[in-house]
Amino acid sequence: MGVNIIVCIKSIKSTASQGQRSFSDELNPHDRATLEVALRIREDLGGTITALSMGPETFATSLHETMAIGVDRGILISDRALAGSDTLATSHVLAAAIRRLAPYDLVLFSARTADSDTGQVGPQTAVALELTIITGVCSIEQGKNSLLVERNYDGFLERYEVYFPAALTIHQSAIRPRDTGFLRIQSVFEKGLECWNHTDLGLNREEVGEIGSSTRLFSLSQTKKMRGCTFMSGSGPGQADQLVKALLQLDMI
Amino acid sequence: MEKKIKDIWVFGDLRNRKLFELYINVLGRAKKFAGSACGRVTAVLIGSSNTRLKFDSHRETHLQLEAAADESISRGADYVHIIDDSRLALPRADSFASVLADAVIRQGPMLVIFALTDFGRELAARTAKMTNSGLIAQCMDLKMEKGRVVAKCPSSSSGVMAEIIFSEESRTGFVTMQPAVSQTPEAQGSPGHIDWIKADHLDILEGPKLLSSSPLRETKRPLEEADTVVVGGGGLHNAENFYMIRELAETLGGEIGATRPPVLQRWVEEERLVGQTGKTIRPNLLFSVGTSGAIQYTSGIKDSKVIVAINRDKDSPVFNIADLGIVADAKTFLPLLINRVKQTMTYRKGEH
Amino acid sequence: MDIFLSDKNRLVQRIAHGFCEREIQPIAGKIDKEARFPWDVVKKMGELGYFGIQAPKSLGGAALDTVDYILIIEEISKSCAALGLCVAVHNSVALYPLLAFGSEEQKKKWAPQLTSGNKIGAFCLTEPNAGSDASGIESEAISKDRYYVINGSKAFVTNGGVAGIYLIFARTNPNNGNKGISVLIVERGTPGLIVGDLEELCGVRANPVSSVSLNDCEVPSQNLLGREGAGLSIGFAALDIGRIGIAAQAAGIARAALEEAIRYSKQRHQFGVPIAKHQALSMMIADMATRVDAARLMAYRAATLRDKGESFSQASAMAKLFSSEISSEVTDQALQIHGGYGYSKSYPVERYYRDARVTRIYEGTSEVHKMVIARGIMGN
Repeated sequence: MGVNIIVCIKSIKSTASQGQRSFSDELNPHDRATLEVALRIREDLGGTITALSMGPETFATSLHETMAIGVDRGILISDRALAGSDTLATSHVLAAAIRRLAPYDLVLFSARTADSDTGQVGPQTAVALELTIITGVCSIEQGKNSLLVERNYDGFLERYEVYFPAALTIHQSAIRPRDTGFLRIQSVFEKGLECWNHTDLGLNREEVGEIGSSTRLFSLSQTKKMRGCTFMSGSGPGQADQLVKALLQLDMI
Repeated sequence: MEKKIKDIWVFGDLRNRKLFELYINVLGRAKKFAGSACGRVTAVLIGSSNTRLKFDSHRETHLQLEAAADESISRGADYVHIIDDSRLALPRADSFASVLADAVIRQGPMLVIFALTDFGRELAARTAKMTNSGLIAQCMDLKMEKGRVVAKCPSSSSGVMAEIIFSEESRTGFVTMQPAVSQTPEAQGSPGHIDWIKADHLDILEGPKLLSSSPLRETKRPLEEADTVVVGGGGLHNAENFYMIRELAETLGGEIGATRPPVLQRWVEEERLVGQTGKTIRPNLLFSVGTSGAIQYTSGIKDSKVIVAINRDKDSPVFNIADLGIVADAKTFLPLLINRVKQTMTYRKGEH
Repeated sequence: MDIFLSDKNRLVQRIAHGFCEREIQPIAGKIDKEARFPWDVVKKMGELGYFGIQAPKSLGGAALDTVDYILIIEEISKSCAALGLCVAVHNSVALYPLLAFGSEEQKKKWAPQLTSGNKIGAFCLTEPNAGSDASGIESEAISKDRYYVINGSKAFVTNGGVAGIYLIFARTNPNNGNKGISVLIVERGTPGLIVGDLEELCGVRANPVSSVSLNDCEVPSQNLLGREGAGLSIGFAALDIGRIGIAAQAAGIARAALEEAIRYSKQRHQFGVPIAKHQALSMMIADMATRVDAARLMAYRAATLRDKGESFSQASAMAKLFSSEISSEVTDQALQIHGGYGYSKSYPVERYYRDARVTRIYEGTSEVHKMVIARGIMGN
């Protein structure tokens, strides 16, 4: 028996810290909390966890990591046609993939990613699946046949009772992710990932990628220095003096 | 070519006064854009005029539909659509999205704008999906260019702004918007006509059961609500030096924040983390001490009113986002600053 | 080096890096100062597979390869050389001999305790009078019925203060020279096994190095590892692998020092510019970076040779020799770059300097390695 949980994860460009080699794509740190939620539920109720990710082949590393963390199945949805997807197209593809994994009980997303803050993909995918979704969950409890979830929604602390099947977006404050170890790594690479493209999902080119999107990037521009920085001259006491004077003038102290 | 009047809808959040003001702020921005785009601004309010709300916390703060409509007009809306139905008494993203999507399909506005709140985000996402429309998030500015709406938003790369447009086939575009830091002057909207719309096609799923809703106590978010924040970074080198951050914060009556290294090194609790994986803050006064200026951090503080940066390296990127800069070693400079501030405050106290 | 790594290697490295940065880095300075073994972190590491890196799954291990192993040791050592040493010694010279030379019963009995980290392993060969000259050990193990009675004293046992399982090298045959030495497995708590006081060391201070004495210590004959007389060949086989670990440890320490030096030299201004722009300094950094890179690649090569089943003794000796020597050079230069601050305990550089120094001494001194390498080249 047990529950069939699907976790939609994302990769982000990792920051190359100076001197260290850069890991080019890494698992969105917020997804670790989301995965931890899935792991705990599986510990309590049994079942399987599948991690899904839509992106280029380099996203495979993040999926491998989710399997090392404890996910049973890792699925990468990847092909050229999917490039340039906005959240509308992405949610369309994810919904198709999730349908292919039916029957499922719980679909999880992170409320945010570390590189952008849209929080759109979860609700849009849930709409496509006609699935109940609660966003920004910061605490989860097992109810009798349900989950009791809490969230901070614009300053309101809300408490919901949610029945399967349902979707949740998890706020990373919800739970402390466990450390990842090495004991599963060998089997992760023996098992490998599954790779789906848009035709596997029964979709046409027009429904996905840039063609299937309703927003487009028009241009990118470097921001000019938004603020002009005034440096305090001199040293030590002189600088401290100047700074305090400036702050007094701005009515900041 | 006939210049069609463009309809710009703004969703009105009635849950409490604070959220209403955020909506009015966005309404003002929409008005400004409408001026340059030959458009008119319509406020969209959803709720129930004659149902008693279930939860105390809601009843105490929720605005009345008609009063909100009048206020919207006096503060900028040219038109108001009210969707009034007893099934819409409780603000829910799913039911609201359903009726809003219906109205959008029937009336085809050019834009639907939402203030960037949790509810606004979710409602925008749902409604955009239901109408198969594009959604541009975190818009900082809107303009018309060659007959198209262009939205300026932060991109995922540091220091880079993106301009996003809706695709050619788009009928209605959805936008979530940052409330402006500076207040735009308000003016009465005209003609100020109010429309009462029926809620058709109201599909409410066997949804999740809301068991309780209570306002969060203000004290729960000290860092986000503080007027003054002093953020310490890895440049402080150890916990003893970090203590000076606490001292400075105390002297100024503010809160402490930190970047990743101090949290990793356990000089300070994780709740103090500021940045992409931590908190986003907008205090009046922010000190950034011994921080590198990495985008993962600065994205969490860039909307502060006044930023003072203290760093040993005069080329540090942190100075790009600062208003006042001190090139100095925090270890030696902080004690001097703390003394000077203490002196000044004692002096001022004496003045009063 | 990244180009040589498989996806699996990279994942291992990323996981190790994440854990070390979160759990080990913040406490490294403190445990060095206090010379304290961090049991709580070690317990966590045991649960995550750090103490059974290459052991088979059936015995509770992670079944990873030697390349994964050195990546892990390097990451740990970059944060804390003392812990890197603990994990390296446990895996390569305590657990490995059991897995390679132990009987099925012995493996079943002791391997799970070791791979889980519940018991830490220690390798006891060196004696007060026998360091580089391993065959000069005087400890004796006299066979009596179904027991061995061991007498002797062992010095500088890495992990000695906390180990649960000790591999004791002793003479079972006083007349047979090199072929008279055997290895016996002795559990902590066995009467007659006395763990001595902890050594107070210059570096790797959080590692509980101690002496170990055996006074009429009786162990069952089943505790003999391998055959009688096979002791030294077991020991040397273990050290061949241990050396690769130490090469990785030294490279990790050097890398940490290099990164600090780069960071510091970009921030510190003298004569109006960051000191990184001073040529004397940038030359130094170029040197340091090249050496660190070479050390890592040598460790990688030795590990790969082993994984491919090829002969790797020369490669591991060269890797250990080179890596330990450059780690002393690089940490010294990093300290110099930091100037006065490098000499102060408020900065981690002086710890790297102290930690690096011992890598030229243990698991075979640099001088011994040169002998070994020369022999390998010249024959004789």
